[in-house]
Amino acid sequence: MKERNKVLDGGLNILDIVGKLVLIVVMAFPFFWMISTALKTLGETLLYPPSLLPESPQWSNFAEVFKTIPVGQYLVNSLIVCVSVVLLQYLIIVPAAYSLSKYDYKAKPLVFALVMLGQMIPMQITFLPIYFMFSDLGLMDTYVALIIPFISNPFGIFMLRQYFLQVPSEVIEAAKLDNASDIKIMFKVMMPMVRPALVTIGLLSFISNWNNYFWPLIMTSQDAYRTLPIGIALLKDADTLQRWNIIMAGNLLLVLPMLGLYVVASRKIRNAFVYSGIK
Amino acid sequence: MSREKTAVRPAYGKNEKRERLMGYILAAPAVILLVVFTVYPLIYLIYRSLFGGNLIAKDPDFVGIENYQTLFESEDFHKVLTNTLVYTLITVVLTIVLAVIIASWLHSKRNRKLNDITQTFIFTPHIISVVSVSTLFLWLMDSKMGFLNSVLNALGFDSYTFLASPDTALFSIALVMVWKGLGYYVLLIMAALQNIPSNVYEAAEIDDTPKLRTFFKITLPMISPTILFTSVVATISSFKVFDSVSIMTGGGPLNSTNTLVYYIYEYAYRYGKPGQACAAGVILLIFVCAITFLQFKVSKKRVYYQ
Amino acid sequence: MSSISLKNVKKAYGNEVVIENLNLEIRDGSFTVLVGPSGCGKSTTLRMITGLETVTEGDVLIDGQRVNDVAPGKRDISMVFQNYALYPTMTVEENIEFGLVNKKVPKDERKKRIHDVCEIVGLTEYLKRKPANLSGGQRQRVALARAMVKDPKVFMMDEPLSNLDAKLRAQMRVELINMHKRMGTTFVYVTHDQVEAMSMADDIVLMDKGRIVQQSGPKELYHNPNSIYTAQFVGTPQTNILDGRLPQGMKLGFRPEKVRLHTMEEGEGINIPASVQTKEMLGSEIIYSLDTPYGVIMCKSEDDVEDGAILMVGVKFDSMYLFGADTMRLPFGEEEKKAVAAAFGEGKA
Repeated sequence: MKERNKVLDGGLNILDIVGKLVLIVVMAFPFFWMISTALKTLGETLLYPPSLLPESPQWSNFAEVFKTIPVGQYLVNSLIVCVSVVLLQYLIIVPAAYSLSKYDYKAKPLVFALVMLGQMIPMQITFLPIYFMFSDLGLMDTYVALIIPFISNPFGIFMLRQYFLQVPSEVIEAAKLDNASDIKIMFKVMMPMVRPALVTIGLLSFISNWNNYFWPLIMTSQDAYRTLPIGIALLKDADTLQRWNIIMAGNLLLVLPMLGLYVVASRKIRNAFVYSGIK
Repeated sequence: MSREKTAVRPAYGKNEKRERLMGYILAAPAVILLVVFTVYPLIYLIYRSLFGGNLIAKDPDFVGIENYQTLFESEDFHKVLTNTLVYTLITVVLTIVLAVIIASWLHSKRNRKLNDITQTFIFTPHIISVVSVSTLFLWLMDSKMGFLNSVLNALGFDSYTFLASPDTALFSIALVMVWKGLGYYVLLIMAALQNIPSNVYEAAEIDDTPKLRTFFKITLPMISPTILFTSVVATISSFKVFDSVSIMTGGGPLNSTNTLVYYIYEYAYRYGKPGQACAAGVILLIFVCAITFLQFKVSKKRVYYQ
Repeated sequence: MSSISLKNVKKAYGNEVVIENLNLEIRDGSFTVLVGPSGCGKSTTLRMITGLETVTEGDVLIDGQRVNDVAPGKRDISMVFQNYALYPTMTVEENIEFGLVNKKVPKDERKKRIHDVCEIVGLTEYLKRKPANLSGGQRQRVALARAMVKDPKVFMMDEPLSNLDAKLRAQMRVELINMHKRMGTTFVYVTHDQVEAMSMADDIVLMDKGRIVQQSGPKELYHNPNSIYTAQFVGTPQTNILDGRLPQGMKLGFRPEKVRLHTMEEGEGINIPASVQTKEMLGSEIIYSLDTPYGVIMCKSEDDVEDGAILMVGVKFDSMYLFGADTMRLPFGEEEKKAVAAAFGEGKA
């Protein structure tokens, strides 16, 4: 009886390992395919059934991407937008969260409701009116149009507020008795105390802005302001016959920074998403 | 700090007044931005949905609820609504069922190290742009030269039409989005599983409960709030589907993958009918509000928690 | 010069009045302790002096200057909080320096002052550490150093010792007394612990329900309570109160340590028949709870008596307090003595 259990358990264990490996392959293979295709010749992409690996890696495919679309410009634009959003949002959300957690005023519940509403309403609902507004103001095809709508990050306000609430009021009072101004208390005393939250918010907003396709699609029509996701979508339609090796090479440029970030800070990123999901 | 304070106090409380003012000043930038980019657009969306005109015209004419009537009489719009609902249903059910199964599987004590690695891989697509994932699967799912069909052929099956046929395109997009989003939901459900105190399982073990019974009678009820919450998140994010449709199919073939947000986008920019687009936007707004309201309602009776 | 006075101060949160018409004078250079049970308004009073709490009505004066509208940071006050309220992201040195930087003290002087203060409280080795890496006692010292370094007019402390263990607390009490002597500034100290109040204060303000019950030196407070409340608040076990036998609702009070395990002569005191119910050995002393015809009374004595023993105990007239029906202290003249003797039996019974 004991022997049989052992055999059964060993079998289950192998099944368990195989199952998980299959799962890993299902998740990882598309990425492998992206890389493999990106290094193939056009001829190799047309083979059917396809070969798993390129005969010899075609690094020139990446150069071809740069020839086909202004990737450099897109990359710079993506970086400008992402970094600006991440940094500028702190100027907005830190004071707002601090105000919501440590000050008392009549309209506070209203401000809080506004933050909740901001979290609830997706931009897929509000984009048309914002488009009209930006057109009227002549803000189409500007960095402003790509940055400003994201710096009031309501989720960031909500999360920071939760963190600020946990800071004992006595610390603020001690700083007041030390003759520190409100602004100084906020930046010198409170902000360093919630650094993990600031990092989480920064990571999440960097990732989501880097990947954002919808917003720049609506707000830009000139290469000077287009971001990388738009560029890759344009690359796909650049030729009548799709050159998948070139498209995948371009795609890698969009994917690699995120993968790199994930390799470096996998746990941190996952924790950030858990927090954003559970609140 | 949240103490009520007396309203009338002449000549006193200068500090307090200053405090209150500071509260407003600090919140003001965020409030202004939220009003400009959330509240005003919502109001304008509803307002604009009552007007005709095109994208450029300055003074569109008031048409009342005509835009809505046009929508509801349009067969295209019926199709779009059906597509959106079917897509949502497939995505949410598949995602949540798979996520619960995989999360429970990866939560088990067997091969812990491998569990962690598997989880890392499952989550990866979530931080990748939909643009990348869509282009990638467009290639993988290519009906003639795609890798997936080569596998099917090698296994002796016929090629699948994937995105090329109106019968299979919507389902294919749903599959891709499930693949992309799965890891996020696995992560959330695993977090919930980790919160179940281990002594509950120990008690069940002492009672000699079969594993499957433990899962259905203990685990599932205890993570039900998270399942509900993740379902709501998945539902709303499915309603918003745009990027993948725009890149993989452009709504086709034969309108079979045209969904609400894509429809709004096309009506505004391609067909130049912002009034009608706004009316469709209002319908999306109603959907989102209804789901959120439902979540509040149900979570008030909080399915189960300690 | 730094005296503090509160004049007709009222504090209300919405409709809830927590302090009504409080008048308080704190002498320059005194070690004043505000003491009372939780919710008596002592912390609120302290916080109104610091400016962390606004005053609903009335005036707060520091050195005769009205400071109601002066921001807390401009009142020249230091405060040590119960949970220390250190800035967790700053080192010990930065914690101490923070207030000086805000006051725009030049760098050289800052360094010198920090050095001096750290010598006194013994933190010199820990200057580069973060609060998380310090023990409770060390954090306490940082909080003290941070308050001292500003050389304030007034030094406020809100239950600063309650997070320490008993041994450290006793040690810190002595250090605080020494610190007060050395600095010579006004100390205002809030505690609920009567032992802390009695051992450190030269002026005690006993509060209850937002009112000051009695303000006096510790000796006076112990020997000359103005009410049952004061008599029972100071000293352990509590002062015995015998009720229901004196005319006009008067009550008789005497401290457990004044109960003698022998009888009194006629004219010297009263005698009460008692049986020993329980006996608590404290070491040098024993606390008895005694069953008497007038109820249970407590007795603290060095004499050892068997558990369950039946005996006569005596209380001297000198060590009795007489209280009226309103619980306030009454004069204890010859006439009252006679009344007490009549009610409880005088001399040998």
